[in-house]
Amino acid sequence: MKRQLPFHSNAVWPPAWLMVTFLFAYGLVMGCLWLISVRLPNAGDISNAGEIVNIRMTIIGGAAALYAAFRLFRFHPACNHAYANWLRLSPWTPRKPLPLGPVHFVWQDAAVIGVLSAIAFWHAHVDPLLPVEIFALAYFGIFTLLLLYMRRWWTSLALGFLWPALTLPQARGTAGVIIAVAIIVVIGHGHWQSLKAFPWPFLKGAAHQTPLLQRNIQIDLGGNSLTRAQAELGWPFFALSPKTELPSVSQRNSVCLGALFGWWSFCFTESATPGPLPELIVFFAFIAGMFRFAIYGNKVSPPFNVWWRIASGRILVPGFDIIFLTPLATVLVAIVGGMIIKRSGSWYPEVEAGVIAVMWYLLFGGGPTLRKWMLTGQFRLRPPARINANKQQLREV
Amino acid sequence: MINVVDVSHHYGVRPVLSHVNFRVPTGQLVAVMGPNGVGKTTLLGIIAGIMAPAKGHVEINGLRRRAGEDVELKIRKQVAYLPDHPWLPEFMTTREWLLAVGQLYDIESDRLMDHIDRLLDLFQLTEKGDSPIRTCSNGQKKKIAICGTLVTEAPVLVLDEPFTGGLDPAAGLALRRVLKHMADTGAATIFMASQIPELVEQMAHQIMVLSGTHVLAYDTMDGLRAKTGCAGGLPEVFEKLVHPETLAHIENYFNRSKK
Repeated sequence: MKRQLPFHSNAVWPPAWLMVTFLFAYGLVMGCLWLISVRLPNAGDISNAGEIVNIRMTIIGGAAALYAAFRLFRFHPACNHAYANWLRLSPWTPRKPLPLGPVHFVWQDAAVIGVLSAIAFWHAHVDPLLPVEIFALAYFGIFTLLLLYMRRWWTSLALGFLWPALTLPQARGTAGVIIAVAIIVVIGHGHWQSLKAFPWPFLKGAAHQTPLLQRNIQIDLGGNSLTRAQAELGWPFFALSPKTELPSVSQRNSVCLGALFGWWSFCFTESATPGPLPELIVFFAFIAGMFRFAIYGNKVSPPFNVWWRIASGRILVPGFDIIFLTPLATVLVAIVGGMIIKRSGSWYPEVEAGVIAVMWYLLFGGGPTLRKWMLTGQFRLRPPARINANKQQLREV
Repeated sequence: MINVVDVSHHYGVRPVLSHVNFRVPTGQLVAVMGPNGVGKTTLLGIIAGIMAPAKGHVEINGLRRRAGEDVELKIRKQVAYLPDHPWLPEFMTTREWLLAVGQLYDIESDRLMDHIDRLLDLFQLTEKGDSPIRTCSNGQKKKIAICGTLVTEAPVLVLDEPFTGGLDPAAGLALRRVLKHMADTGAATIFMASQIPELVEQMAHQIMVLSGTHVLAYDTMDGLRAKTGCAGGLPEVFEKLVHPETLAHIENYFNRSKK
């Protein structure tokens, strides 16, 4: 007779440590209340005092959030590379259930959250929907971060627009429900797409992306992969490497990121109503411009100094000075935008969002790309300081 | 082929190279000589892509440096540069480092491992092959850097003072033979700076002499002899080219002492 294996989703029951932690924390509060009632009978019933209710809410909400985190971190292959690598070598396909346990909701989740809701309602005397809301927020929030980690860019972008929309004053009632449903649908679709794309290229040791040599040798460099070690190949071997993975943000992505940050600004301004902040935007533009310049000028020096520019009358060196253009344009947009924000009256949230969107677009998409700059810029590559330190040592000897 | 077109460069307001033009044909070994601080390392750095010249440009096998992203990457794949002060990752072993460098240049894995073994053997580094680079002496580090340049199998080698930095005589001989063989068989175009005239005379197809900010001479050994009217070796030819007064001063010194 065939022995019936337990349904794999039985693994989703909260682990002992989680239950013990919850029971200990909740029991500690109850024990303290009991002790107070015994020792200080004149203190009256303080079990429903605001602070005590808040503590109970924190414990119950924390348990729901921890359970949500456990569900994802324990069962999602992206959170466990050893599991994912094992899965890669197994006959598993996305149409089959995940062998260690499901990531999607199962009836056990309803049971666990139901128990927490029951405790919240009958014993803790707090809103029974609290564990449900916190579980959902934690579960879908962490799932969003996981999708970003799994490089589901378009899904992450859509979620980047949807999540802040929940904070808008207009997103109450039906609109809020529609947005929440949209978030769940997008996450579900993204999850399915990510499973279909398994094995993920970013997995450590993913064979389909690994060059033959690396697969054969598998050198352990104290936790560093050979690919990572290539980034530290010494001077000037990496600086002049014929392979480069310098980031290059496309115009399309720059537009998307600009719009996303503009939207975040709009949602923040609408929900928190801090008033127009043109000075802060100019300050931010200045810092961001400097930051971009620091990234571009990190390992390079200008081909010649200011004195030579003055002496030769060649004040502008287009091949090098091009890196100043985008930071300058960003600050300029912030200054002009700030003036418009001040004159925009009640439309300031929209104008501010527009200015921030343009600024971010410029920061990401303003030319040249880092890759183009490092390969074609008119600069001198700076050797690492360690070389000079070595020279100094040699002189002393 | 290396084509240097009207290259000028300055450090601050001090000119280092001024309107330098020359061409290194494919499969030639050209050595550049000149007094200290004359711009040899700058010229090599410009050819290798470490720095952009203030004026002019460099072409490698018909491709112009820094003309575009893909062009630059193509050039980088064809050029290996050994600086005068290389810096090696001390935590890696010699073999790991050479493997990583070879991978950057897409050398086929079996050939790469075989080449590394041969290089370690050639430069007497086999024992140090699996030790961290930090345990090597200065001379051994120089050998490792040379191996890193050779393992790339790049058709254009730019070498800054490859024979200095504590190389032992055996390694010097090995490197001389390897470079000469590569150039004679047309496997590589080599442009190197050296201050050792005896070596240059033996190895180089053509010799370039830099002085001031200009190329003073660029010819074969026989051509340089004819130009200077000096039948001696490269040290004399070099002195006559760069410091014609030095030889006269030496003559004067001895003549006066006789009187």
